[in-house]
Amino acid sequence: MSKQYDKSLFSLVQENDRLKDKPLQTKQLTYFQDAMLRFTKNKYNVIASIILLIMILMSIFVPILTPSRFYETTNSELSTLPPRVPLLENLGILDGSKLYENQPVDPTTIDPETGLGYPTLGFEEQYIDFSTLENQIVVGTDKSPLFVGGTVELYVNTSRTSAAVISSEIVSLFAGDYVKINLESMPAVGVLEVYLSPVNLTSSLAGWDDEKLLLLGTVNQSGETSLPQVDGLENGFLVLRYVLDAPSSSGRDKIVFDEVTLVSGNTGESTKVFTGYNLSIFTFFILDTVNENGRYLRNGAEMVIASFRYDEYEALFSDKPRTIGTSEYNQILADNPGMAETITVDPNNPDAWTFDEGYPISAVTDVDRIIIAGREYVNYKVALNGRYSLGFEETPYFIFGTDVFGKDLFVLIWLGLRTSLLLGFLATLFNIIIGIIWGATSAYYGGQVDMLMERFTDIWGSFPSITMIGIITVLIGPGFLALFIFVVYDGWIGAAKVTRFQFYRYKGSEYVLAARTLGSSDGRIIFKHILPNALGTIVTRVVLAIPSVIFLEVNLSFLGFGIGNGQTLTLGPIELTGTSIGVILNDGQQQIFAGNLWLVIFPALIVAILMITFNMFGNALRDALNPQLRGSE
Amino acid sequence: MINYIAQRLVWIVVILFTTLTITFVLLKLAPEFPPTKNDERDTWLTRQYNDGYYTLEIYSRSNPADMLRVEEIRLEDGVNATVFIVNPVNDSTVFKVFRRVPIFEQYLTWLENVVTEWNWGTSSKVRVNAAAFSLISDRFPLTIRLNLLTLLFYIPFGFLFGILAALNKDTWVDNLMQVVIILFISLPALVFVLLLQIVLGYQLEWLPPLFPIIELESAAKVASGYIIPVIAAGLPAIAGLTRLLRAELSEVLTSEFLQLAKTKGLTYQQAVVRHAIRNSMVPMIPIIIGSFAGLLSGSFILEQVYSIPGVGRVTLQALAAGNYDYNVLMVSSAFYGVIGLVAVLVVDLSYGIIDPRIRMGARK
Repeated sequence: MSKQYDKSLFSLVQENDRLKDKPLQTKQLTYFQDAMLRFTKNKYNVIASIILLIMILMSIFVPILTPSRFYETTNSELSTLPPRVPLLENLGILDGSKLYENQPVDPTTIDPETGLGYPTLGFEEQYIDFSTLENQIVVGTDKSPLFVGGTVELYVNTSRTSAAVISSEIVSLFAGDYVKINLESMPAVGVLEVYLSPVNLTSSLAGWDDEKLLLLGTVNQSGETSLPQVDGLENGFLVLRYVLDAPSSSGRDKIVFDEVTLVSGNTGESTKVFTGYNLSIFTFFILDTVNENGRYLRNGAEMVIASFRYDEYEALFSDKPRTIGTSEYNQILADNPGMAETITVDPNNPDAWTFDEGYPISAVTDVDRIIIAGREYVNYKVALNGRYSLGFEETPYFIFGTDVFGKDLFVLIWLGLRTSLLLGFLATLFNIIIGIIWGATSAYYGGQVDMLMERFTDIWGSFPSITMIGIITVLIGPGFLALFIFVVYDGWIGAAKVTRFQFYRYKGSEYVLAARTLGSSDGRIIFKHILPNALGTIVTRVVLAIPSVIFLEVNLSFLGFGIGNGQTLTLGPIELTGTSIGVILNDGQQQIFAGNLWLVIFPALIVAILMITFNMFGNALRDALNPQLRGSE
Repeated sequence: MINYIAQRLVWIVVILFTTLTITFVLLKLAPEFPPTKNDERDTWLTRQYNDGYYTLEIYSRSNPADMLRVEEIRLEDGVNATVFIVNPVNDSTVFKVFRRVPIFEQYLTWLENVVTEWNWGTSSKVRVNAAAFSLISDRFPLTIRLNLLTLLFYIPFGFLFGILAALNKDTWVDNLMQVVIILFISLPALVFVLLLQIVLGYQLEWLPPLFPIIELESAAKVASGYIIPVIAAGLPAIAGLTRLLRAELSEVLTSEFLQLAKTKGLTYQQAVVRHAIRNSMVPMIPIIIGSFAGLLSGSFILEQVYSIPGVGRVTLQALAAGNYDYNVLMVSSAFYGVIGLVAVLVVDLSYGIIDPRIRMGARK
């Protein structure tokens, strides 16, 4: 400002020219209006964003609107009910029936016409869908009563000379009775000795020549052999002993039993048959542990198994026989006015009566009267409605089924999602703030500062995450706080890296140079000039990071490092439960073997949809905020 | 450049050292979890004593004064956390009392043991009294094999689909791929492996539903056990690579040098193969290197769900609640630390080599 110029030397260039520019007719758009336009251009992304919004709203409102007994209390009777959806159930899918496979059939139920049988243990006939019933025969070696037939093999082990087994029950032989042995095969070496032992304790016998043992006979050929008749009444345990002349060299010598029968001498009828299962449960009877040992195996036994669909809801919620006391009975009558008037007594049995439909009790089948100390106590045997006893007005629709604890999976999933989302947003907010400050400082100053700060993040970030998880778990134990630390301890590094890269990109720009030339402070250049330019990239990057935070939470909870089933956390008005998608998936994975696949499939689908919509939303946001980045990353 | 590499290598050592130091100190702040059985506990603690992490006091069973002292120790602070009393083992007639030495002293001893003897201590829980280092190094080949297979599986497909998508940009091929890509990128590996396990393992029974036990099953069965984890880890990786390559290649396809190549008289195919694809592949290299490290350290879930006895599974076993196995944890921390750091270095270096315009660490 040292030199002064005369103002008259200067004149305005366009002072006398006529301006031909037209004023702008179109409305000017701000940056965000422009972004909004670009955002709504892609219909798929808009749909995805709407679905995402619906999911977020569901996660907030579903748990609020559902009575807490559906997701807080454990009810073992409602455990693992399959999904049942209105309308869809009429099409035969998701109708509340569950496919059971490999269920052992009760042999008494086998229909002679179709040859099909069904299990009775734990299943009721009327709820089995007989159009889906299929039977299959499996051959097994299990010593189980569900397997029938087959043979039993008695081996002598290598370098031993004999092996013996003893029956678990006492048998009686009257005078003239005899034992018939039916062998499938008998090796050339050795002999089968059949004894009757008064005791089944090896310690009370001196040896095989002990006089307490009664040798009934010996067998050395395959096929049917009748042993000599006994002289008088003999009681004892039946002992089958395979004796070799010399120690077995291969250990593969075996007697294959078909049947051992006790036959009455008078009538010629068999009084007791040992075959299949009851023969296979004979136990080892070793008197000399040095020379005796063997193997006793069952072979070729058959079991019929059935697969069928079973209507779980009907089975659970229809009438069930129960015994209730007088007070409970009277209470039910009092709770349902008009019920007592509908009683129709069975003309043949004064102790049985029925009610009209629509009441908790449909019929009383019997009345027990007990008189104790002059007072009469009455127990009613009733057909009690399953809905009533479980506290439902109508048969409920659990559209995603229930989990092992009898909780409604649908509510649990939204409950878990709420936890995951909240954690995701909180952690992301934390990450973005720390990340921007760190990255901006590091990149702007560059050189030594950058080197130091980068090395710090290197050290910090090179903490293997599993080690960090370990340290936190060991020091403060699993829980919300631990989970939050896992998610943010290195989560901000990502945001810092993006910020740093963006700053490197812009800090050499002419406008930054200009700003510095004009004397702007570092803080002003960082926050006023560079950050707004870089913000679009940083924000979209961070939004895209939310799903990965949620995903990390799911993984950690799945591995058991996060929140557990029992925990709760209160954040102001919001109370979070310990349920998270990861916990649900972990519980569900243990149910895969039992065939309760919906416990994995539904939460997995919800997580997948959440991730997909979140990613599409993030991409749409990126395209809208930074059109030049469209299609990359 | 050499200067930069040397600097980085020194830093790797420094970082690893710092990380392990912090891990060691923090883990040792928590109570110790020696083996539960008395004789195993005796062996383990004696080993720790020989390595210099514990002090040993011996009290005779026949001496009443000694027994009184043992009873006093039982009531002390830190019993079963840093002080352990071992009852007489077998024919021995002495009670042994082990006390943990201060953390700093332990740390120096540990450093000496590792540097001079490569002695990382013995496992206390995962496989009692086995050398911790061998526990990890035994599992290492399986984990590496699994990840190499995943790499071999995903790179060709990723390149193929990426090139196809870029060459057919904005046609139905590209649109379909976009849908599939977003699906696979979004599907978490956890969900993916669970679904594969249910469908291929339990329902169709084509593949083993859990990883076969290597010692018991035939080679073919074991080989079939790799399929589900490789697919589960590979498909998201394919989707990621496809997306990146599509973006890169479609940018190159519109660049000036490609037009120049065509102007020179090359056919479209020649131009695409010689110039466009080659150029677009270069930036993929750091990404692939980085993804290998990512796959390696992200295989916990796969190994856990599919019960693969790899490094990740052992680490998780060492972290089972209330059964922490610190020596094994230290080795696996070192393992994952080295992998992560080397990968970062290689990625950084490859950036510079491939694109000289980027100079990491330049001054402002």
